[in-house]
Amino acid sequence: MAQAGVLNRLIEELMRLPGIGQKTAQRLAFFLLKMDDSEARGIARAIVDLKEKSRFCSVCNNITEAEICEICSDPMRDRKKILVIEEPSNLLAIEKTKEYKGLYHVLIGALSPLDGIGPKDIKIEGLMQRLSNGHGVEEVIIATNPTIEGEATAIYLSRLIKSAGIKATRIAYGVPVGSDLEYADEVTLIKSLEGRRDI
Amino acid sequence: MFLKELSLRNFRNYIELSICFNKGINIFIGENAQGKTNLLEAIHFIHSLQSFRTQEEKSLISISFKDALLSAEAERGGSIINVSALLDDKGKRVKLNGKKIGKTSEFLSRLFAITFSPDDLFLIKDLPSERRRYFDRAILPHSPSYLKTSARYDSILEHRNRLLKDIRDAKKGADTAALTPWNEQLIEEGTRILLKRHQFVEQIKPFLEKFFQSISKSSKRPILIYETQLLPPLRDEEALSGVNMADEIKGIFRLSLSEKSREELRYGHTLVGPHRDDFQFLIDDQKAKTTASQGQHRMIILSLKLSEAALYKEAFSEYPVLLLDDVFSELDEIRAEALIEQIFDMDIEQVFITAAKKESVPFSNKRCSFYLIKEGTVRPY
Ligand SMILES: Nc1ncnc2c1ncn2[C@@H]1O[C@H](COP(=O)(O)OP(=O)(O)O)[C@@H](O)[C@H]1O
Ligand SMILES: [Mg+2]
Ligand SMILES: [Zn+2]
Repeated sequence: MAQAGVLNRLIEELMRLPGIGQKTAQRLAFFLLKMDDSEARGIARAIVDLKEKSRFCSVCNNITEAEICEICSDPMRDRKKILVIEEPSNLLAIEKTKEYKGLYHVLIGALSPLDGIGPKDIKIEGLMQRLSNGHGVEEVIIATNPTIEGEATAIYLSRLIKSAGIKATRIAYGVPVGSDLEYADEVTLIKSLEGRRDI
Repeated sequence: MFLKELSLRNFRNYIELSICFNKGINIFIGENAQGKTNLLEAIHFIHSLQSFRTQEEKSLISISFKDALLSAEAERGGSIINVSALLDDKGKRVKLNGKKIGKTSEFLSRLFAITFSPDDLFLIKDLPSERRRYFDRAILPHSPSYLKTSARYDSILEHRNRLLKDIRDAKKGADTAALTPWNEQLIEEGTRILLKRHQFVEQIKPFLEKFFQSISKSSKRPILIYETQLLPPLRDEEALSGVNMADEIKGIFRLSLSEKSREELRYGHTLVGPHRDDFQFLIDDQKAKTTASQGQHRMIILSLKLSEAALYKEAFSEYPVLLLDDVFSELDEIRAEALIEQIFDMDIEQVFITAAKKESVPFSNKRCSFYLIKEGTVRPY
């Protein structure tokens, strides 16, 4: 059963990935087995390259190929502002808007006692160092997800940041632009009402 | 709203059924185990996309068949609504006016039924968790966001309980500072739940008294009480409404959490919040749980159902369909008649009632439509 042994190992390894259970792992493994040799190698190489060539930025934890990411080393960026997010993918979403000119800080996760993730397990300490080093940061914008874990992280951070004497803000939740109020769910509406502003 | 047509295929003991209904009171007569409750269950399902008897929807499919199909035509506010639900081993697929719907919550504002089942009688004596579940469900049609709020609250609770245990067991990284964000959120979402439950109970109260007195033909006063440590003492109506109350609750919540914090750390469990609350029925200030008769229990629950229907009508200017299973047993003739009178009085658009014998229905009134249920068949009677 050496054959099945190799296949089973791949299935086991694939199941380590988030959102992938036994069934999906099997499907993917069989798909890879049938795939063109060069294509399959391409996937394998991309994974190896990712691990060898990219890493987390030593300042903001964004994904980078250098020690410090492009954003952190860009002299045109507004160094008075830091926007805090959970994952590097969130950074891409905000960058796409081309509206935000400040710096970022990626926490790589959110507080989640059920998963054993406490304040020491996400990149909070690094953020606090960036605030204390006399770098002149004036505002930290907390843009963690509106889940209970993201919200817990935001509350925890805002206390720390404020006690460091720096302004902390939270992005507002709102009704998606272009959608009808009538179709917004009630929780979104309540949160948008709570986050309303003067005009 | 009312149900005009119902078709069943392989639902419980109905292999093939197609039937039209009238507005007004419809009464299903039949001996034991002929399919009376099954038929109510089907009607309930069409109105709520769930059974009132079981969570396990596979048991609704006729034995030795692979799938069940329910379809119906109903009318609400003058417009026709078509619903169909296909049940098989993969779950249920629902269509509303020919279009698939994903979440059951999308359906909530369309059709609605309020159902009395003899199982509901346990409500008064059951565990507090059952009462919380009952009332949380009853609130839903009045507050679609309540489902999300409850789900968020439950997850917050789980995280917080784990953290309390981790702190107690001195796990690395678990300290009381890490507790703060979970306290804040517990208070935030918990307050929403407290407010909704309080408002619901306050709205139910006057109806409950009125219907109970009318059905029981007595002047005894039933009261429904929301038992919680977290509400401010009741004052006049004005002080009760609005944002102020939420702020007051939050204050009390915060205080109780700090009072209980050592105990919570000792038990590794959240001891404050709406997940610990209860609902209590009183009759003339006596706990119904311990002092009321079987018949009084039945009349309290029936009054509660009528109150829910009345509240629904207030909110949506239309009655839900009312389903009463095996309602006359344990009610003497006078009370049974009073119940029917009350239903006529309210002018509920459509009601379905089951009974064993035609004679057990207080008056074989021309205003009711009778059906005979026999071995999974239905015919006018
Ligand atoms: N999934 C099913 N398939 C076939 N028959 C069923 C199924 N579930 C229940 N039944 C039958 O339905 C009958 C009970 O019907 P029910 O409506 O509860 O009776 P009643 O008329 O007393 O209210 C029983 O004979 C039971 O065997
Ligand atoms: Mg029955
Ligand atoms: Zn960086």
